[in-house]
Parts: sequence; structure tokens; C-alpha cells
Amino acid sequence: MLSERDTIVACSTPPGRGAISLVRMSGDKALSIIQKITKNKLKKQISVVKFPLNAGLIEKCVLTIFRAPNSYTGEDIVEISTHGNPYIVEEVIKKCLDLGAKIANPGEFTLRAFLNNKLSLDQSEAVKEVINANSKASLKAAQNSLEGGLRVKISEVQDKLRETRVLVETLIDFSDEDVNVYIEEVISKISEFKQFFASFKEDMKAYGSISNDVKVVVIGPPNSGKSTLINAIIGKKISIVSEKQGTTRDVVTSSCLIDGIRFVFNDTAGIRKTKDKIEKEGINLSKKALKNADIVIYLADKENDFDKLPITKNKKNIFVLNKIDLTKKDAPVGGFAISAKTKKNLKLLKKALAHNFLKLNQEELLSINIRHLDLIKKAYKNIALISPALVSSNLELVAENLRNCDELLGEIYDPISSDDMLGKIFNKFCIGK
Amino acid sequence: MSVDIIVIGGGHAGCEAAYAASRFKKKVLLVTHDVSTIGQMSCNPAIGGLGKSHLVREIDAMGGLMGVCADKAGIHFKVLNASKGPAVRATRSQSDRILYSNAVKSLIDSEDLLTSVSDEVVDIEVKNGKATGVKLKNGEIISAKKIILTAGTFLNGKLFTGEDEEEGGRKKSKSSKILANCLRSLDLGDARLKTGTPPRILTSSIDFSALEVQPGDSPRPCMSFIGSSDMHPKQMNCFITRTNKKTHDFIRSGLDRSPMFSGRIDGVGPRYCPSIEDKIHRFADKESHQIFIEPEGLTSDEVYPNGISTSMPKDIQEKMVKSILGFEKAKISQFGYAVEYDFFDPRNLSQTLETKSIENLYFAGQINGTTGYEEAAAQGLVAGINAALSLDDKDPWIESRGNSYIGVLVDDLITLGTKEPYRMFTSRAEHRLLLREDNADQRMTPYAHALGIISNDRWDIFQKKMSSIDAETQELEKIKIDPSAFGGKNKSKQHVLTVLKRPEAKLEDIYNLIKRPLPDKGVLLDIETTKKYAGYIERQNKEIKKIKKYENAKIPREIIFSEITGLSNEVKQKLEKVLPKTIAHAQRIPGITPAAISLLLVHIKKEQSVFKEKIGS
Repeated sequence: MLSERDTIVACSTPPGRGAISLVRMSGDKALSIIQKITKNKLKKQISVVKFPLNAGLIEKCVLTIFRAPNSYTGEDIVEISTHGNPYIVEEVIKKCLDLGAKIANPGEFTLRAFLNNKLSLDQSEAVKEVINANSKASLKAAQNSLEGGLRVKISEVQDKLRETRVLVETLIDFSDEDVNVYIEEVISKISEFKQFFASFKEDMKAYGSISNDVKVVVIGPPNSGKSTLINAIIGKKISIVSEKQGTTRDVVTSSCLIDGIRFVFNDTAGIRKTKDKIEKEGINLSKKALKNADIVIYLADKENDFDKLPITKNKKNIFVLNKIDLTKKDAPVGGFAISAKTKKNLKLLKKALAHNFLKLNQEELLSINIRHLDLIKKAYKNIALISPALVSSNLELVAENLRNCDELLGEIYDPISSDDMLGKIFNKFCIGK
Repeated sequence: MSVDIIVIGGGHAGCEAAYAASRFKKKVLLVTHDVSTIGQMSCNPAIGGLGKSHLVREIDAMGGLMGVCADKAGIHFKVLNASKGPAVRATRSQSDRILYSNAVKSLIDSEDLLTSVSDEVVDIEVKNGKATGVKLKNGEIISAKKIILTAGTFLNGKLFTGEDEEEGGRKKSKSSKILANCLRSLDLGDARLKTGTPPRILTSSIDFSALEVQPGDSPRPCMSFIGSSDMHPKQMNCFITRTNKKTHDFIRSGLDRSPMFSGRIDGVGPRYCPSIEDKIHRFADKESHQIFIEPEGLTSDEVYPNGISTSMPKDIQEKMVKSILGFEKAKISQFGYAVEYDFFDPRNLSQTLETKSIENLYFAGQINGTTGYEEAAAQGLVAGINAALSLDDKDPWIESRGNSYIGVLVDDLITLGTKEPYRMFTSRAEHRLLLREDNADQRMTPYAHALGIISNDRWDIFQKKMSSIDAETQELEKIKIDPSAFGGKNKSKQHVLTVLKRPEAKLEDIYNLIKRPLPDKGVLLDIETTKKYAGYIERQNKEIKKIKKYENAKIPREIIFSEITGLSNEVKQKLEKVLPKTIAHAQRIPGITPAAISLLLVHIKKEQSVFKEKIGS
């Protein structure tokens, strides 16, 4: 919900595009939050500070302070310039959220600027456009990110949560009715839910923010030039490393930055029928890597070789025909014809990788993912507070924790009103005198 | 003839409205079909229960009738959820019907400026969009500055028993057909709802020896902050019995003749089960349903078998009742029936319950789609007080959701409307932990005192309670005890109020431990709850503070929602339907996104400056 009292934070440069990203925070608490994180006294308008990230990492970044009312929004603003690495940006934002900031709503900086008389009244229509455009983009990004796994998982959690709430609310509001619900049932239901939510929370961490590296898998027949291609893109030679005792052919990974985005390449074992046990293991690993990939490059040196590959239709696919230095070939539809060896057309392919990824509207996606994780974390905190003793002594406090949890999850997907909750109760229990 | 305020209807909404308005020293006329039915309990003789008792306590804290009358007439009192925390504890009372209605009448009669007459209002006079008076059946017109309509189920009321159908608002009372038709012509958006009532059974025909007894609580709780158990008349027991397979078979055999199932009733019933035939139909697996037998009063020979509300044909009612344990020889004194009636979409009302389309006309009670005495009374109070305040040109009384169940009730009605008879539940209140039965006085009495509508006695009792809370708290702050008596592991002594935070610790036990005389129950409860809920209260207060900013952000009357560029048509329609007066109110309308609110804020800022310029030049 919109509230001016909140301190808001967001990344205001598209991450990945430049060498520098800018995180902006506006509101009453902006200065105190940044002070707490950096231990800087903020005496200068511009200062270089050490920003501690997770796992003992420290990012050196530039802080620019604009004090109210002399700022874009008219409130205290801190701008944090970091290296243009999405991982760093995400960690910076997370730190701010942990200390009480909220992810900005679509167009909220501009809205605040307007409401605080920082923009002229004539600009009201333009402001509305900014709000609308951003809200559409954000909605779309939210829908994208909610597609597939997350939505299913969230609704699974919500279903279980609401089943529990039905019992608790029934025990409270209809304790004088003829319903057979017992405290013991609630206690076991809640401990069951607690476990479920804990594992869901862990899953979500892994589901991961997109600022984790972009995973690229290169797949193709043996000797189509996969390793050569990866070496060519990352610009150095990586060697095939075996596991300690050299039992398996592992998937070999290496990474590089393209347009500031970190791409991780998986070289896979050539896919073909084999009786070699070790190689079979390698192929299985390849298939797994394929499943987790953000982008898949299908590489072949003969056009009809594409038909032999296990291609699953997906917008993240890129088709590449290699070895044009040997014979002249036409690029496959929507794909590229290159030479990994002579690096011909390689630049085009690299651009395509970055472009393909940015199409996902990274900026919105980034903040939406952080927001989701933040909400899930806060929702879990409410559940963690519930003990069997509390169920027995103060069921209304249990109900309160469950409701808060539901409200936070509802900000991600499918909120429920108190009236709908009553509907669920009336469906399950015969109530009414 | 001319008065300040006319109240149409003498039910629970009408009485609270008339009484509250008269406390403002307004000349009030209460018009009802029959003054002898003032304050009558048309349905079961119980007041209070979950969510409902919270409303009663709030009405009482504002100096209303219901709490005091429930104490004067209560023959059975029970605290529900006694084993749970104070926020969800609720008092329920059974009333002696006659004593209750007498208590209401005597308080109504005690107000010199309040007159009640038996008559029928057939039309409401409207001139230039303003209500100016009412027309009585004999053609006489009485003019008034404010009119409060509390017609209950009487508008176009129809009663159904089996294939029989008659007009009426309840048994033995006629319905208001002419008025209903006149109101329809005002185009306020009406629809039909239904409710029902069980057959009444003669006490003397029941074999109570076979039944489970439910005695009242001891010590007895009170409904009113100024009530005491000395006010209570002689107490009676309630009893519990159950339906069985035979009962269900009889009901099933007559379903085709039930007006609910044969399609003769169009009105929408609630999602919970209003009638026994509904229960059996919707929960076919359930082999037995509980019946709560409520005495109708000390001198009455009737009981109210709560749980078998029905509109089945009489022969079926007869068979099904006799199949029930204890009712084998039961004599039915009045058969159960269903009532179908008109109600008006409450989204046409503003926060004061004044209609948006007709100035000076207020709607309160069941006519707004609610069910229950408590919900009706609460609305009556809101309409009565606001009508009087408006006459004095004072700021309206608008309760927020964070301050009272009355606030939740009114806001739900005017923002969401209702599709079924609306009943209060504690789960409707998002700030449930703050809105307790025991602190309704702290939330509301100071305001009522400032309005000058409560008695000195009430104010004294309230102040005494508050100073006692302060004094006790201060004393307790000085005392340290050994926490191990309450499950604490810490060996050194701790402050009493710190120990109190432990789930195991009860303040009463601590008082016994430190050998301090116990203060009043209300004082004890308040100190204990404030400590035990501390973290939760703080969080809810924070939420409320945030919302408050937007409660104060008014949407100017001049704003035309359809003119706001960038809003979708759907959002525009929703805003136009509800016509929210504050940003917070707009936020609560389902389907209004944060982006829509942002656009609204931008638009308002722009419009306001244009408006100011116009005034300036």
C-alpha cells in the first residue's frame, strides 16, 4: 500500500547496461539507514564509503546526499553508486530493506516529487504518464516473474496457510457454534505449516534472483566447436578439468561480462548415444544444466545437425552455425553463422546474448524479485513466532500472526479479503442459528 | 406540525437513533406502527456474542440504550472464548423479552424531547433533493430537518411458511408496502434479502430432564460499563438438544414444498446456514445439528429453539420438532417462517449514513442489508448522532476501522456493500487486538462526554477506572518479584510488569503473591492486556498511524472521477459508485491499485490549485 511515510528504495539505472549502477533511496529514514550501514557520518555531500555486503564482501561505493527539501522528491535522498553488477545492486537494496526501507512503487519517486511541489502543476499529465507506464511495465514484469514456479508455489503455501486460518478463525468467531475443531488439530496443523513454509523459504532463495549470473548452456554434436566458442567469447582458454580422481566428465563452467552482465557458460558433453559409463554421466549432467539455463546456444557445424539435437522450443534459444571459415553457410532463421576460430560475427552473437537477456525488462524484474524475497522473509517471521503455548493461551495472537503472513504473501499474489475468509469458513463448517 | 428529527421505526436502530438525537436536546418524533412494540426482539432473545458484544459495548460507551437494557433484562449471561485472550472474549446474554422492551420504552419515555406515536409513514417528502418531512397514512404531513429511516424487514416484507405466503414485517405486524413503493421511486437501488425464524415451543410441553443444561456464568458478567449484577433479574438456564436422522428425513421429505427450495423466494440468504433445511441440504454428511434452547423470559411459556429456523410447511415442522429429544410432546405456539424484504444498497450512503442522493435522509439498520439487533442499533446510533451534529453545524462523527467495530461496520457497508445479510464477526476487524470489549470505554467515552450526551454517572465511573489503572500501574512498576514462580529461568528478581509478559503469568496470581488487594476486574484486565499484547499493539498502532495520514487526505467534492486521465474505466466506475471522501477510503475499495491512487493524488493536487486560483481571482 502506498504510504508517504515509508522510505523507498529502487535501482534507478538499468543494471547491466553500464559500468555503474545507481540505487536511490528517499524518505525520512534514508539518511539514518545509510548511516547505520556504512557507519559514515554523512558530513559531505559526496563521499566514498565501504558498503558491507553479505559473506564479508565489501563494496566501495559513492554516496551522494541530497537533503530535504533540496532534492528531486523534496525528501532526504541518498544515491548510492555501485559497480554495475546486478548482484551488488541486489545486495545493496536488500540491506536497505532490512533496515526498514520499502521497494518503491511504480513511478513513486516522480509522484513524491510532484506532491512535494518539486514539479510544476503543468507537469501533472506527464507525471500520470510516468506512473502509468511504470505500473504497466511493473505489472508485466511481475506477471513474467510469477509465471511458472513461483505462482504455483505461492498458491500452495497460501492454500495451506488459509486452511489453517479457517480453523483458527472458526475457533475464535464460532466457538459457541456446533463445530468440531480442537486446539490439538490447530497445533499440529501449524507445526506442519511451519515446516512447509521453512522449506519453501529455502527454495525461494534458490529460485533466485535474476541478478545471479545468467546461465548459458552451449549444446551441440561432438566436435561442433563448443569449447572453442566459449573460449572465444570469454577471451581466454579454459581447460577441461576432471573431478579429483577423474571419474566423471564434469560440466565445465567459466564466466565473462558482456555489457556489464555476468554470463556463466556451461560446456557440455557432446550429446550422442554412448556406452561409456563416464560419458553417460556427463550427458546426464548436461541435460540438467540445460534445464536450469537462462539461455541455450544450439551449436552445429552442419545445418541438418540441428534436427539431431534435443531441442525444446523456448524463447531463450539461440541457434548458431559454426565454422563458416571452412565453408560458406547461411545463418539459421533468427540465428547466427559464425566462426569461433576466426571470431567472425562473434560480436553479433555477444550482443544478442546481452539483448536477449535485457528483453526480460531486467530493471523491473530485479526489484520485483528482491521484493518477493523480502515479503516471503517477513511473512515467515510471523509464522516463526507461533509456539504451541501461544496457540493454547492466546489464539487471537496466533490469528494475528497468520493474518499478517497472509497479507504479506497477498502482496505477491492473490490477496484474500476477510469476507472471502468468512466464505471459506462457511463452506467448510455448518454455521448459523 | 414540525420537529427537528423524525425517526421512522421503533426497532433497535430506531430507538438508538431517537434516544441519541434527543440527548442532543433535539425535538425528536419516533413514528412506528405500534408504540407497544418499541424495543421488541423480533428474533431470538439474545444480545451479544462474538463481534456483536463488541458493538454493544461501543454503543454503551457512547451512552446508548442496548447495554443497559440488556443488563436490566438479562436472565442468562456467559462469556464466550473465556479461555482465549481478552480481544476475542465476548459476552452473550439472554433477555427476558418483555423486560427488555420495557427497559427500552422507559428510557425512551424518560427523554422529554422525544415523543413516540403509533402511525404509518406512507411517503417521504423530498424537495430539491432534500428530505423535508414525512406523510402519514391520514395524509397529514409532518415537517422535519432530518429524517432517519429504520424500517427493518418491514419494507415490502413477505412471510413464508410452506406454501403459505402473507405480507408482514414479522408475525402479527403489517409491512410497509406503500412506503416501500415510494422509496423505490426515489431510485436508491433496492434488492431483496431473506431471513428466517424457528417455530416457538411451549415450555410446559418440553421434557427438560432429557436435555443438557447450560447454566450461566458465575460470577456474572455485565453488558454495560455502568451495569452491575445487582441490576440483573432472576437467572434462568439454557438447554441443548440435537436433531437426528429422523428429523432430517422429515425435512428432506418436504423440501419440494419449502419456499426456499421451490424458488418462490428471490431474496438472497447468507452464506452461513440460516435455516435447518439449508444445513441439511448443504452439509448432507452431518448427522446431527445442535439446537440451543433459549428461554423467552421469566413469565413466558415459550422457548426459542435456536438452530432450527425454518420455512417448511406446518405439518413438516410439527413432525420434525417432535422427532427431537425432549420435544417428543412439544406444542408449537408459533410456526417458523422466512421473511423476505427490501433493502437498499448501502454504498449509496455516506459515512454518516445520510443518503448521497437525498440530503437530510438517513438510513439505519436492516434496511441497509445487515442482520442482528446489535448491528442495527450501532447504525441507529451513528445516524442519530450525526443527524443531531449536522443540525448543530458540527463536525460529523466518523469512526475509523482502527478505533471501533462501529467503524468497521459502517465502512464495510458503504465501501463494499453487501450481497447477504451482513453480520459482524471479529475477523472482519483488522485491528481486532485493539478493539476489545473491555476497552470500548477508553476508545469512545471521552468523545461522547465531549459531545455532552452521556450521564455524569457514566463519566465518573470511567474516570475512576482510568485513574485506578494509572495508580495500580505505577504501584506495580515499583515492585519486583521472583520470576521463577511463573516459569521464568532468571534467578534475580524482575519487575512485575516484565514478568507479566510471560504467557504463564496471570496478573491476578501476581496480586495474590504480593498480597495486594485486587482492583476492579476491568482495571486488572486492562493492565494485563496492555502488557501481554504490547508488541502487537505497537504494530497495529503503527499501521493505524500510517492509514491516518490518508484518512486525513480528503478528496474534494468537486473531483469528478470520470475525468481523471490514465485511470481505467473499471476503476473510474468503482470510484463513482462509492464516491470515497478520503484517500484511505478510496484505497479500501476492492480493485483500486496503488497506481490508481497515485493518479488520483496527482489529479487532486492539480484540481485543488485550479480551484484555489478560481477563488483567488
